[in-house]
Amino acid sequence: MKQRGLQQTQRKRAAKFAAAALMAVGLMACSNGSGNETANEATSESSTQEAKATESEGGESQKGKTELSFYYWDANFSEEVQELIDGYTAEHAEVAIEATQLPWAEYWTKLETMLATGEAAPDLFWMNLAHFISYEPAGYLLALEDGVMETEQYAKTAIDLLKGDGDQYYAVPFLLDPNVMMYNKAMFDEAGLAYPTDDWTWEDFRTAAKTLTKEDGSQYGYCFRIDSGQGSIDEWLMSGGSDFFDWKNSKALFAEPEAVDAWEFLYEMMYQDGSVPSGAQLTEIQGDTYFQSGQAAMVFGAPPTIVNYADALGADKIGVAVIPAGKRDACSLSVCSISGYANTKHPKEVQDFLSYVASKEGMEILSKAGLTAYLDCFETYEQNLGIDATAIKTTLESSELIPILYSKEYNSEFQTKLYSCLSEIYLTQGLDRAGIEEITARYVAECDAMVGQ
Amino acid sequence: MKSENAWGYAFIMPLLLMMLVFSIGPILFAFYMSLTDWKLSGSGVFIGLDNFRELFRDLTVQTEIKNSLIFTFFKVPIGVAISMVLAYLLNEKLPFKGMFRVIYFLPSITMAVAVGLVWRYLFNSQYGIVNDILSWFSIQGPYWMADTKYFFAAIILVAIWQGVGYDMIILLAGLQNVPMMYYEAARVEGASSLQCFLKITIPLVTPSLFFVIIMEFMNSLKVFDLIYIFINNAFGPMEQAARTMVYGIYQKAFVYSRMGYASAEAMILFAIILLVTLFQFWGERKWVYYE
Repeated sequence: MKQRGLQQTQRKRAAKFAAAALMAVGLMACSNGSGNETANEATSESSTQEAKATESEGGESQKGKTELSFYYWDANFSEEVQELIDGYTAEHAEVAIEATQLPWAEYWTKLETMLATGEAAPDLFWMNLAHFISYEPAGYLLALEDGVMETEQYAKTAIDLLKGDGDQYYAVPFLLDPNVMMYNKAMFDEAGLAYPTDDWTWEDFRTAAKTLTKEDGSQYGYCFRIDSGQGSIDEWLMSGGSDFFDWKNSKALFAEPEAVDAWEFLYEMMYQDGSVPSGAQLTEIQGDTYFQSGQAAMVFGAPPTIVNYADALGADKIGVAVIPAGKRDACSLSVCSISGYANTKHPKEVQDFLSYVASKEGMEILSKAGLTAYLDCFETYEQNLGIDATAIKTTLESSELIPILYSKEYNSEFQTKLYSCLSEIYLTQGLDRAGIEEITARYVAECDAMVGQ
Repeated sequence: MKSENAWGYAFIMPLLLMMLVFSIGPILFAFYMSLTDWKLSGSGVFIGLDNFRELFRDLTVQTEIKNSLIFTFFKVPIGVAISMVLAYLLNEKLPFKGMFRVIYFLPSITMAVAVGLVWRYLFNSQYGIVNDILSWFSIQGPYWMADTKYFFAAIILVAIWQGVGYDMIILLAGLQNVPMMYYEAARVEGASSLQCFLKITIPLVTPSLFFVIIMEFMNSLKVFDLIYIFINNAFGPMEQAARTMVYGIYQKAFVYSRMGYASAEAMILFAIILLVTLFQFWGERKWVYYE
């Protein structure tokens, strides 16, 4: 037993050393010429955070409080996260929770290093689906005790994704992102078109996009991101009837006939109708910027983007509709959740805090900043949004919500393959269906080869 | 004498320890990691040379090696040549010499992130100034940032622009050490300016030139920041056109969490840089002139 403990400590030490080594190699790589400043900033920032983490690692502070650390990535949620903590600690004076916001770019590397080495790991942290599927089997996540979540209050699709192999849940979902369509009302009015309805089909969409396009290139009917799948090709593949990815078995399915239909439909809108900026234009400027800057009439996206568009164009100009159905009513879904660390020194307090987060009171707080999985809080969300969000509710209730997951073992790699395929198809001019089939088949074969190795 | 030695060791100890902990140690550990399949979570298993076998079959890695070499092939000679000319000109008695020195040096103390972001914008086909200037000469500028034919070339151009200032300062220092008497003697014998430059300046500045070339080779082979900023989340053809070895190492380690595999590629890069540098030190005897 002792021997095993010793081995574990050694392994932890080795892992810590390795992490330090990699960071050093990383810094060396950045340190040619002027890269120095960035590298230094990163180091000083990381050391402060490590210091913070070590401080709270001891658990009991001088004041006799149990200290928990909480990591999250989205600065837009800082107020709500603090309100959540204040709400909890008001009732539990014996607990202090320190929240640390890490930028997205370094969040996962830091979190994973901390969880893997087991030291200085935060007791609570935000999770997304893409990492949940590898962190849960790795044993990093604390299994929620029964009763922490009133499961019947939550969107079923969302919480079902947060189960392990058994029936236990490993995270409290708080942010739901079903994708919807945003449109510029002023452009529809100008073109004399009726606003999109729930029963729009792909053809309705295509016709409207053509009408909304101006020949001088100052306005396009639709725009999408070529460097991301969510709110872009994901939605077309899913509503087009493609099975997207069989993530549990690491199988890419974006070259099946239904998928090729979707690729081709969008390709024709771009290069035949001219109602979408060209691939080169979408590469130069992030695709959805066309909508945000009032140069495109329609865009797909997750609910948090609505706020940005409303800020840029004015809330009265933004309409929200469900994504037009191709062969089925479907859209992608991403879920953010909060998890506890499996080896936390204070499992009782962590469970207790999570049950507060999962309560209606906790979710009401989070609903001010985003759409939560707690169905009863929808009104709070809509009120704070200040825009008619009925379409989001309709999507949640009646669309097939497909999680954006690619593979259990090769999630990032498969994602890169899909995005590369997206870029290649829309950057290549003069493709026909056979050309699209060739490109998609090649990327799917690369995914298969990875699994076969 | 003995105690003097002890003091000597004591003084170099901090630096030596830093070297051991932050350079030598990690390099050795990275070598060990390259023989494992460590994936950040869990502990790696020793797999011998499997990572290297996979590396040599990996088409992406081949692209990365090719791009790193192309980058170096263009950046080093062009960059050093321009720096040399600039240093020579700024060593002459020119008005506003000091101001020009600052202007040329500024890009090299600007963060690569800022440089990359600003240049991306300048290269934008619709709003960028580069195509604006080309249009004055009735040239229809390409999609610099969205056409694989121009993308990497644009990055190399920016890298050269950013790098010349630093090299220029080193060479300028070298030039200022060249005694005037050689030039005076040459003039008396009727040598032209070009002859003076080729026969006096260049040979006497070779030690600085050697240093600059060695550093340029190393930095070019391990270029990362500019590439990362320019690629800026692009995938597929654009990423393939510009991905270099350190970009690939970063992606494998920190995006795909394949630490072992990334370390193996780092070892390959290490070997390439070592070979190139050894070759240069071998060549040093043939062309570098020490007074």
